[in-house]
Amino acid sequence: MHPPRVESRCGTFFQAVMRDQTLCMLTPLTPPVALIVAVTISVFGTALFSWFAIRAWQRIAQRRDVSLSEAITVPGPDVDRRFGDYESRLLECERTRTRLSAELVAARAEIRELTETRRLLQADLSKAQNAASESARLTRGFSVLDESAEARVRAAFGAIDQVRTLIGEAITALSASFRGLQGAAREQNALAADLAAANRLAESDSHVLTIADYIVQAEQTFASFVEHSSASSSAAAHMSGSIVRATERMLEVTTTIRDLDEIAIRTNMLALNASIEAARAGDAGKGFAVVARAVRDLSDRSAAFNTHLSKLIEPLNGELAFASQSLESLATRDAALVAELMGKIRSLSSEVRRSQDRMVDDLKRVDTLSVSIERDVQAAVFGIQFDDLANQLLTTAWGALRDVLSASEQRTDSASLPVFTPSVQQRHMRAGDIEMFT
Amino acid sequence: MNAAASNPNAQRCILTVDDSPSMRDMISFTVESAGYRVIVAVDGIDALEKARANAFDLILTDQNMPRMDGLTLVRELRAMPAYAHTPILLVTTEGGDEIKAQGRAVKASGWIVKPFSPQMLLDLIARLFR
Repeated sequence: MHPPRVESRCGTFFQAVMRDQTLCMLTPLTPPVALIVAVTISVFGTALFSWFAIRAWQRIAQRRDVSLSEAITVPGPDVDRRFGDYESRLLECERTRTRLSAELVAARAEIRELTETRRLLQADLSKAQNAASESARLTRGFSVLDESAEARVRAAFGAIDQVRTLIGEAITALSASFRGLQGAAREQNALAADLAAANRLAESDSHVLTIADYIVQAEQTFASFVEHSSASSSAAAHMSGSIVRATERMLEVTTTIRDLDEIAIRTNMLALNASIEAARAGDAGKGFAVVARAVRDLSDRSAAFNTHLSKLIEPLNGELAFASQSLESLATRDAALVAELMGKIRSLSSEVRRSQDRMVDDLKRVDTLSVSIERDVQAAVFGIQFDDLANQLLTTAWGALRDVLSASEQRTDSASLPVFTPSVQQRHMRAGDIEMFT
Repeated sequence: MNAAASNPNAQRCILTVDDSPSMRDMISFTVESAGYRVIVAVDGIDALEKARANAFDLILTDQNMPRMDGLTLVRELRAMPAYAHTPILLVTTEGGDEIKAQGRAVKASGWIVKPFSPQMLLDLIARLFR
């Protein structure tokens, strides 16, 4: 570092004096006087410094001249030797200079190379710094991602557990439902069998009485009954005619009794006349009077008998007329009733026959449906096995997620995770193989 | 007339072993529909206890179960004189040759890959009991 020039220093001083008024502050001088004093001191100082410098330069020049003159004026081998030394030194210096020049060139090349290397290193450093910055940013991102992934893995655990619970409950309900369905189908089968058995009213080794047989037999029995009723009605009608005819005979008897009454009256009159004539004859007529009295008694008794007979016959006519009317009415009503019942029985029989036919058809249909339900239930039961397969797959997935979560928590390499090998290979619900070893 | 007399299958008792409730239900449902008597176990250890307490004519077991798997159960059962010749079928989702070879090694009677048809199972059981 070179010292500042005198002018510059003086100027600085003046500037300092003018700016800070230091001299004024340090001395009792006023500013103009102080300026003059300062300028004077500077001028003299500069002159004195120049004088000493010139003197020093003159002395150095004198000494150099003396040395040169001494060196030139000293003759002898020492000078040759010294020249030789100088020459060798010069040669050495030249070689050194050449070597140094070469080294300088090499050094410059190396410097250029180092400069280039430094530039490249600076570029690499810049890239590394950028990469570090990016890495830090990514690390922060991965940290957030890890937290997010962990949260999602834990959510997946919950979802898997939820699915397993839902499937388990659904399968339990389905199994119960299938058991119920199968039970109902079997009960239906049993009822159909009972109905089929009920269709067989009586069964023995040689004969089976069905409802159809029963209907035929009932119709035959009722036809016999109708025939018997018709015969009874005919008999009643015939009896009614007999009674009518008997009534007519009774009227003839009544007429005959009236004739007998007339005969009795005339006989009585005759006996009375005979008694009168016997009384006229006196003793000769006493015997005749006895006969006349006897005839009169006979006539009285005949009249009394007729009266009694009339009293007996008179209500009998009424009874016979009532019986005749009743029998006639009964015969007429029975025939109508039998005809009506016959129609009803035939209608009921055909209705029962149709019902029985329908029942037989329904039983066949029920039997078919029962077989179909059993088959469908078996198919459904086959499908229930998806629960086991799905559950095993979910367990495998759960284990894989657990491994990932554990690796994430322990910051271990993913390559150290166990090999993922699901135990279920089936991709469809198709029946698997059966292989017998023995 | 009792059930055993009316259905000869009622004299046969089958043990079904599975950790899945639905599979236990399904197999019981299928086998009971044919009139067989069924007892269920939830894993190999449970099955061994029930095998010691009962006499089974057939054992159907799953392979993958907690506590004791199906292959170990078969090995343990074969070591018991009462079950040295009893039919034991493995019913599992796995059907690889390697694990089937393990089944042969422990002297299982057969291998059924899930899912299986209920009717096929019943036919197979009927064939074993003939």
